[in-house]
Amino acid sequence: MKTRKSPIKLFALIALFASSVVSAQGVNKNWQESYAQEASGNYAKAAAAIDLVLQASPSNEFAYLRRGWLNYMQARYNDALRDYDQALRLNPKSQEAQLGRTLPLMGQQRWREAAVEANKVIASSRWDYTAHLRLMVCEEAEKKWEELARHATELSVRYPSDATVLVYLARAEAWQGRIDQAKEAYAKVLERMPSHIEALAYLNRNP
Amino acid sequence: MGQSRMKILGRSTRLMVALLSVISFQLAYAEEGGDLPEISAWKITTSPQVLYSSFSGATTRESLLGAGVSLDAQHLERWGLSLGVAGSQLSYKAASNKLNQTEGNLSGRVHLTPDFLSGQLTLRTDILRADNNDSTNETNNVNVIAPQISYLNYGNTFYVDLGYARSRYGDSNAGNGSLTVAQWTPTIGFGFNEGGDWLQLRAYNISPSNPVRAQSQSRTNAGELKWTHYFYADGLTPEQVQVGALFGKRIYAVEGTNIYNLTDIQQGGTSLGAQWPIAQDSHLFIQAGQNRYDAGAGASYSGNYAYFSLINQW
Repeated sequence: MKTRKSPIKLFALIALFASSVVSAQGVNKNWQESYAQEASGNYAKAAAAIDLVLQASPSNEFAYLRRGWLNYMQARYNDALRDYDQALRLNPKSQEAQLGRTLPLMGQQRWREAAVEANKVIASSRWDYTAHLRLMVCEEAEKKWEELARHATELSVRYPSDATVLVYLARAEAWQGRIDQAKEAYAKVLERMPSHIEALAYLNRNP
Repeated sequence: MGQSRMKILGRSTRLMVALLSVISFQLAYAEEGGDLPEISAWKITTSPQVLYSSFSGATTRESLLGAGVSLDAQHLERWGLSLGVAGSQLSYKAASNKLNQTEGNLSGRVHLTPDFLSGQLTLRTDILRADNNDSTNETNNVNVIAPQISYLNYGNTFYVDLGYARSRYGDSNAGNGSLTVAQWTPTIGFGFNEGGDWLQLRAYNISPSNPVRAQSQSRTNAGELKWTHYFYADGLTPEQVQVGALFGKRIYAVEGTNIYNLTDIQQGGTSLGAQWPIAQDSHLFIQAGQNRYDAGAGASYSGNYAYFSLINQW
């Protein structure tokens, strides 16, 4: 005997499928809206679009990472920290969230705390460029010139074509009164970026 | 217009900081050599210090010699504690007795960073104590509590604080009664020249409760101006130079962790200081200056001083 499929069940399945498609489209629209608003510099609206994503999906790690970044760009540093912390709770191994924390911490001039965060990344990724760069920003802010000079020297060996690292080295040498070493570093900066304003200014002041 | 331009500049700065870090070369391999130092959550600062002052034109006072040390512990950029002890000896002309004084201070502070302020708010309280062998007890047994709230913007270009100090002096053995002193200290500061200079103005409004013990003063007002210039340290060139001037008059002032518990009115002063780096985390600060005093009954004199402090950080 043939069993006849219930039309109600079929209709329910179709409705469920349709609603999930509409829901996915809605969520996708929120992501699109967020990126579009960010491109226009409207960080508050970009973050508001992510709020809608998180309402639908409260455990979306990437959404917290994104909103953390958008909050940082609005100088909403405490909100940014909360979002990065939530991302870390969802994924304790996320180096992006750890690096993300350094940005609002530096924004609040909590240099030592930011340095501790950067060091956590370095502990697991020995020569992570982003982590080292942020650590150097903190060393400069705390005026740890000897440490910054050593750090920049080590990093420039690993990234010999990078001008930014050489700028930090030059600054550290300059602040220690080591003019010849500072000039040498700034000259190397100009090899990589011939119109670097800071390097040109220092070498003009110290011919 | 100016405000929206500031917002744009702020955003650009934040974007630049992040863009510097966008290119991330994830070279997650272990490589020997070049270990980076561990970063402690604590920053410890010790400062031994010495002060010598000689008095010119004074009828009784000859010189003052003092020494002390302070220990400061800062946890990340969130809170800190400070402890200091000092001793001093005031010598008199034509007298063998000396005024020996010991001082202590304990200070606690908390730093807050609410987003609506775009800067750091600090709440701080100092507790100070001074004991000496003054036979009249009028400059002895001094207890001070001094809370303060301050704000420094993230750009380090604007600072403001309001301090209050309440001092309780020992009851007089000479029949002059008790004394408490209330002091309000508002301060404003500005950074300019891309962080190369700092200008600070502080007012002292001091109200002794007992004019008999304050040279008939029920209120004194003074102002202090300090200018600090920062240099690239090079050989003998200091890393900072500071010029200060005090104008107006003040009595029984509390200045930081210093208690001015002598009974003379301070009528102004000037100072010049400089700081040199000794090593990465060690600095030598030297200051010289002159303060002018009114001892009452038309007797005025000056005190020339030299102050040395060695600041060490870990």
